[in-house]
Amino acid sequence: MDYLGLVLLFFVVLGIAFVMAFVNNLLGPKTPESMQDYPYECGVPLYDKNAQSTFHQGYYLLGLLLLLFDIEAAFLFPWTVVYRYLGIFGFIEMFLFIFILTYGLLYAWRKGGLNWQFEEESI
Amino acid sequence: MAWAKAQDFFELKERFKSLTIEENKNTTTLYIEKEKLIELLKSLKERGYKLFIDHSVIDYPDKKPRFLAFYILYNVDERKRVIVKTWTDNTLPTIENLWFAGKWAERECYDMFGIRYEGHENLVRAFMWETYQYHPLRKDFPLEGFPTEDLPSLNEVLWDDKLSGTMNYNRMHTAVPTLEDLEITEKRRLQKQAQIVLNWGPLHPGTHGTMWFLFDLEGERVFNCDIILGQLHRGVEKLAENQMYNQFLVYTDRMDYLSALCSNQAWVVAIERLLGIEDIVPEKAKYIRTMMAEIQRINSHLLWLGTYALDLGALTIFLYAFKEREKIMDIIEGITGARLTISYPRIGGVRMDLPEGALEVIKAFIDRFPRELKEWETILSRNRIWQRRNIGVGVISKEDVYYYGLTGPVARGSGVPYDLRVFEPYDAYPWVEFDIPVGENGDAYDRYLVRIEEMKQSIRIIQQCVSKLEKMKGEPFFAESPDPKKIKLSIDGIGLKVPAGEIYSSGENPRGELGFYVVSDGSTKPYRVKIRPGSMYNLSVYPHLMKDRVIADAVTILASIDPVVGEIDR
Amino acid sequence: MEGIVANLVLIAIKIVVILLITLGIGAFLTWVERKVAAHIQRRPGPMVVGWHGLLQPLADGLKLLTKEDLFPRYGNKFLYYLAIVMALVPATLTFAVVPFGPEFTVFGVTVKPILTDVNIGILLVFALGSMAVYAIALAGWASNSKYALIGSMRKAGIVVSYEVVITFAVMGPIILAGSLSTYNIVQAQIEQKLWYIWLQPMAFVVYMFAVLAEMGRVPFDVQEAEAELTTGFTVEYGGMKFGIFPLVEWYIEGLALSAIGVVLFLGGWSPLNIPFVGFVDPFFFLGPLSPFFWFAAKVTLVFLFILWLHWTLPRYRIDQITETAWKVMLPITFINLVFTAVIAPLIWR
Repeated sequence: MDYLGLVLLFFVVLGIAFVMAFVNNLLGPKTPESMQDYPYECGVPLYDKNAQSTFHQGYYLLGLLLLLFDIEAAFLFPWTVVYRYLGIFGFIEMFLFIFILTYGLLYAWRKGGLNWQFEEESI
Repeated sequence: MAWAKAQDFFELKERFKSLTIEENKNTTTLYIEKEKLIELLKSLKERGYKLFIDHSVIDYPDKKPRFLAFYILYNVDERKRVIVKTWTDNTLPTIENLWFAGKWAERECYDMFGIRYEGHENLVRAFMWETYQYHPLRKDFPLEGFPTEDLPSLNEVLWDDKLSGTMNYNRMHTAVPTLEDLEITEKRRLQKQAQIVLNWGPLHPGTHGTMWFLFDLEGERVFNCDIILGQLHRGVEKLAENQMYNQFLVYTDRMDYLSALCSNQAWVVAIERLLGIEDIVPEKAKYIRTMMAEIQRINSHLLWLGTYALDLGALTIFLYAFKEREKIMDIIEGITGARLTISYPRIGGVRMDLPEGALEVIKAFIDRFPRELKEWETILSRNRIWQRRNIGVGVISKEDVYYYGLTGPVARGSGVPYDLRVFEPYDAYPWVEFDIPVGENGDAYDRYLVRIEEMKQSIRIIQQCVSKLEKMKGEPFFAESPDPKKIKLSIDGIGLKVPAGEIYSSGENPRGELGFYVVSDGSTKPYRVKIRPGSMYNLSVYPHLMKDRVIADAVTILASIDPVVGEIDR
Repeated sequence: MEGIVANLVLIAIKIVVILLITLGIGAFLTWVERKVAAHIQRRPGPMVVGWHGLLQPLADGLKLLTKEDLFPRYGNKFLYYLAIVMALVPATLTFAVVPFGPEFTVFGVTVKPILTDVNIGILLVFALGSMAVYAIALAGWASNSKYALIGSMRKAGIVVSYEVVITFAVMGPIILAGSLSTYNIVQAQIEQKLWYIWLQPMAFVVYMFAVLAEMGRVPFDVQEAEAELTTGFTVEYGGMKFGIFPLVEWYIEGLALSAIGVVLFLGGWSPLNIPFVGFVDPFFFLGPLSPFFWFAAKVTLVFLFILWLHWTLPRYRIDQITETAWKVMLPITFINLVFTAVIAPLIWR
């Protein structure tokens, strides 16, 4: 029952989003010209027609770390809620957990995993 | 005058048998044949003439060989300049290994005169598109070009196509590049080696004008970069050959449009030197020109500061800077009648006297301005984000300054105190006191600090000029010609004949050295004017600085070099 | 049966209120932003349409609605439109768990001014928050523009970093309150007579940083970065399709995250707090409306603070942003977490 509102809101907003996406098609003028859908690259001919190619990105290691740390965070959330009832046992256990987590972070840091990866050997 | 003496080169005569040395009133020239050119330039570079100033050719259609190529070099330590000249028909050896800036100058020369450079790494046209057939600066190319294309839009109106009288323009137009032409130009510029090639400009907010950058990207890292120029090319040098000396003044406004007064001043001083009337220009005119040029320098640096901050995301500084700029524009408008394209100086003085109250307004401005400047510095200079974006970005070493022919604040940011106001003083600069700020590391932050400090020094110069000018009320502001039969000096400048000769004279523009190499054949129009654009050679270092940097640094580095396209393309 | 109908009516009213807030106030905030920016920059800002330009958002909206519908050549149509939906829906859903005030009774019906007081409210906020990145990534990919691609990749880089930081930052208040429900967190702060910002200043700072990053505000607005990428991922969007993105990113998401920040750290709808002593309400004369006023005031202040930063600072480079997140912010949150665990028993007593 709690989630009923959420579901209803979801559908309402979904409807609005669709309206927003297609409203220009209904209301806007239509002046077909040969170059009007040319991808914007500052008004000059494209060097590569396709932008959807391989694109080296500098944070793939960070992406992996994000997965790890987010899972750790998922472990910690239940603990934060019930920490009140766990007493000293919960504290020590979680202290160890965070300690290991910090250690992992330091390890990644030391190995250079937190840096933006500019270099690639392939070229 | 800062020219080398003939005796400096007597030793070189032993090595180069055919070397002839010519010492004129205004220049010192070394003539050498084409085969020995590179060797001579190399030995000159070793002898301290290591700053590349300019290179181009002069076209003499009636002579054989046809083209006279010249190279202007500067010795920063001894403050001497020399010109090396050689005759050629259509080929020259490339100097790109001696000076990178030469590579760009050669591209321009190839574009404009059709000179082939042997050994040039990528000889492409500098300004025109690759499929363009003519070489516009040759004397046999007509001023109006070859009208080949029918452009109906030239005289199109909404509901009637038949205009009458002078409104009915000729529809025929010179060649216009098509999309395919541009694509060929683009592909010939840069061979793709990494992942994607990003076009950056000409219609881009970060390029400070209509420059077209090509970035070969590996992720966000720039693997390779080149710049296509010419979107604002108007052929100012061609126009100069067809205009009288004073008429050309208005075109100098439109080159570096952000510092029109400085460009005017540089041109006027060059012609005065060529005429030999530099000493008879009244003191008052010199002070006025100096003061106005410094006001313009602040104006120009303010635009730089605003757009620089805007590029790095600090949006508010932009409007603060423009507010102060507005005041300066009002001052300039009050004195000269124009805000952007000013043409206030004239050969022999200035156009008119300072109006009533002008000095009071300027005094009020320079009282207030340092406080504003200090406020912006608190926002930026010590800001950690600002520092992290700027420190260590775009480092230019001292050697690079010479190799790329850099001048102006860019050179000074790298610790080379090259300032023509001191090295080759003109107008009132020898009589005023100011310091030249220089940087230590040559990064973007140093260039930022140098420009900020330059504004403060400009305030100092203006203060001194104002206090001098206050005592000069009523004095003449235009030179009396010593011999009206020989030199017809007048404010409109009509019929001013300049004796045959040549000169290279330059002024310190906010963006670097603006030089005019003028060859006169004794008529009312110059035979050849080569403009040395500070911005263009400053920009030539850009691909080098962008190597292995990220796209985000592209704006930092570009803004810290601060080019103006009007001057690059001319 | 009657209970269900009453419930549905109540839900319908709440949904209308939320839509008014997100789309109405969200659009109106464009005017606020322009005015704030203008006054920071010593200029009047919009003055022509309506009194002091008050009707400017309407004029802008009308203009956006009547633009031609363009779709970039070589693009991916399905993903292109999906991006718009993915942008608007999660951001608006976040408001479902924002408590606007305490329970009150009107016409004999007890109303909780929160759409759904689910017991995992905070988790829901961050789950929906991380959905926002899909919109931007899809928009960047589908438009087949290099600027858009780079912009969306940058945004992904930011989210990769600040997602972790924001989850660890909010753990402090959750420990102190012992609940994930937004409503209960505020209740706990009122009962303990303590805004959690007094105990969690570091967490609050980190949270604000993360909000700036998720919203794409200066100094973290690298995905837009007009000077480098023109406008980044929205380059190929026009008309209302474009209008959605800034509306969502800058205003709806900004409002939602400001509200959650107020809930977590600034005591939700409670009046001014003196730690451990109690609350002082200079606006007591507003009677039952006072809590709503306080909540709105706090959210406004936080939002204005974000605007202030936006119009003052320069922007970071993307690698500097991620490194700050992992090397500075994350260790701070760890320290804060242990610190909170130590002092939490003292607070409960």
